[in-house]
Amino acid sequence: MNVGTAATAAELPRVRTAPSLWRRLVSHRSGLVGALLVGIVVFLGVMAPLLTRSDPNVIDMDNALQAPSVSHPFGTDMFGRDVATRVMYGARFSLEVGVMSRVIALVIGTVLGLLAGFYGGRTERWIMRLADVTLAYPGLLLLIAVMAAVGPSRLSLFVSIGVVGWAGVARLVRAQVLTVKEREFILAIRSLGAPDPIVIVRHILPNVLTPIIVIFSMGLGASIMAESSLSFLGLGAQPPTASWGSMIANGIDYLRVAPWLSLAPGIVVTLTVLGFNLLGDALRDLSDPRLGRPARK
Amino acid sequence: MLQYALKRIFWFIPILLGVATVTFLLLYVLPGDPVLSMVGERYDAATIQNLRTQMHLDDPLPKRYARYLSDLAHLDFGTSYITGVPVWKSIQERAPHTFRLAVAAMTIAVVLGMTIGVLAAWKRGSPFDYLLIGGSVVGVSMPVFWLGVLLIYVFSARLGLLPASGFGDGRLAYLVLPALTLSQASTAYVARITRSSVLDEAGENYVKVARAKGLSEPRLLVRHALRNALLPIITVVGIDFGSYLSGAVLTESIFAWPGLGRFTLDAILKRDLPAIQGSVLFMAAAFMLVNLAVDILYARVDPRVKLGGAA
Repeated sequence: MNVGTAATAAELPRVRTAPSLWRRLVSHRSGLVGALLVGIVVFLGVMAPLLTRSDPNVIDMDNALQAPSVSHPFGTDMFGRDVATRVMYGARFSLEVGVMSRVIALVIGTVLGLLAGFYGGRTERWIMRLADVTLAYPGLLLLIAVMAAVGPSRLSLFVSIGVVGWAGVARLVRAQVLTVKEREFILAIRSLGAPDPIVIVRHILPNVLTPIIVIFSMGLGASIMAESSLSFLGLGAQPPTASWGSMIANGIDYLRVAPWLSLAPGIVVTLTVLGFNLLGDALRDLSDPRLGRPARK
Repeated sequence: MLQYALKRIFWFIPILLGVATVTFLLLYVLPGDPVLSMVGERYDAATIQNLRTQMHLDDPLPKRYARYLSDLAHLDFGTSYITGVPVWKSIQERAPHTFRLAVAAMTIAVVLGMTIGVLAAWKRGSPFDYLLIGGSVVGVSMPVFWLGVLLIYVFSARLGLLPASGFGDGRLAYLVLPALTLSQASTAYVARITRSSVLDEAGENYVKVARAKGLSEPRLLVRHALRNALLPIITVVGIDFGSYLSGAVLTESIFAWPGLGRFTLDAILKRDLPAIQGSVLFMAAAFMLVNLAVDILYARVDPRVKLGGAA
């Protein structure tokens, strides 16, 4: 797609359903709970440097393994680091990985889904076959393999989680395109002689945008889950970076003496994923109840 | 039916070929030297070179790929670089353990999930319903590994009731915590699906008739509504069962369970190429077979389902 069509896409009116969707979300009880949870986590993650007094990685052996107290609400870990501070920085890390990897999955999935749905035929067969292979591949294992080989880093987390997630998006987008492209206005535009890129970007894409937004939110929870699973196995965030998964893993040896090391980040991970799931479900209900669930891992 | 199954199995070949190729290329492209992880860095160059030649690591890519495919066609998954044991033998040893864990987890998910779902549907709209459904939503959102840690904390560290990890020569006590952990997401999901499909069915006329006949509500839900709600439940359980075979990586790691998941994880961490290729391929095949079984089961449970058409 060239720059010219991208510019025309930018001139499009905003998605008209957005404001009313937001208002309806407020009256959707579980959706509101989800939005609140997500809001809190985003707030804590973004504001972490302002809300905490200490560096998340500063070691203070004199205060190691302290039980939760007023100055350390979630206690301290084996190096005397404040667990609450690290949980907040963990939110930053997880959100960053979640959003970046979802963006990658969405871009790849949308482009391929649009192409497959619009052109059909051989293009479609190849793209969907590739999606089948990706989905048949055990997702977590693929992630583990990639991370073990390229070495754990922020970028490899973004890319590997993103690339593994493209197939579900592509399937959804293709299915949507198939229904949209049969509508009369598309026929009308095409018969006026509009070139394919214009038809796809200006006329089809805006009409499949809502499900894309929904799947973005639903996938965020899964991406964060994938990130913390990898970090739990030691293949995600590397020490001393604070990440929920690695905090839980490091706490296992201290379960008898300092259970808060694993329990606190675990509760936060659960609430975060819960928030994104509730929000995603609500957005799906509100935008189009017929939308299917994305494939589960 | 048979024709349909054969057609589907025929389609496995290109997909498996795809998975095999992706695995092969991935391991070829990615950095890291299996020989170094085999012998350590202190061996002299000649030994390393010898091994490389022996393992055909220096052959050009197409040649290696051709050799790989021809071995696969003979059902030869190669020999582990690390242990020297044929990969197929290791898989045969490990797979039953994973299978056992998966069956236990699936049983828990079906029994517990359907019970919760029917109870919630029966008491729909009550605080009890909200509690059960709320609990299942939280359950879906809970990372597997964290639930495992939580269970170890409560039942092992605190109460001292169950062993925290290991296989224990197959004793049942060792199976409980891993199976519970693995079943968690499916239990929650089955509960949600059961509740909503039972409620869907409860609105149908035949259920109304049964109710008008004076059948008690629990009997009505279980005997009539649940029976027809089985279809979506089977789908969920089937998909999950397939993913257990690979998704047990985390559970098996936490509980030191000697199954396929941990085998694969170890292989990946040690760059044991034949072991990785073999186990990934095995899991993908198992996953597709289970999916096929589910589809066939579908047609059995619901005669309205016609197999065939687009495979």
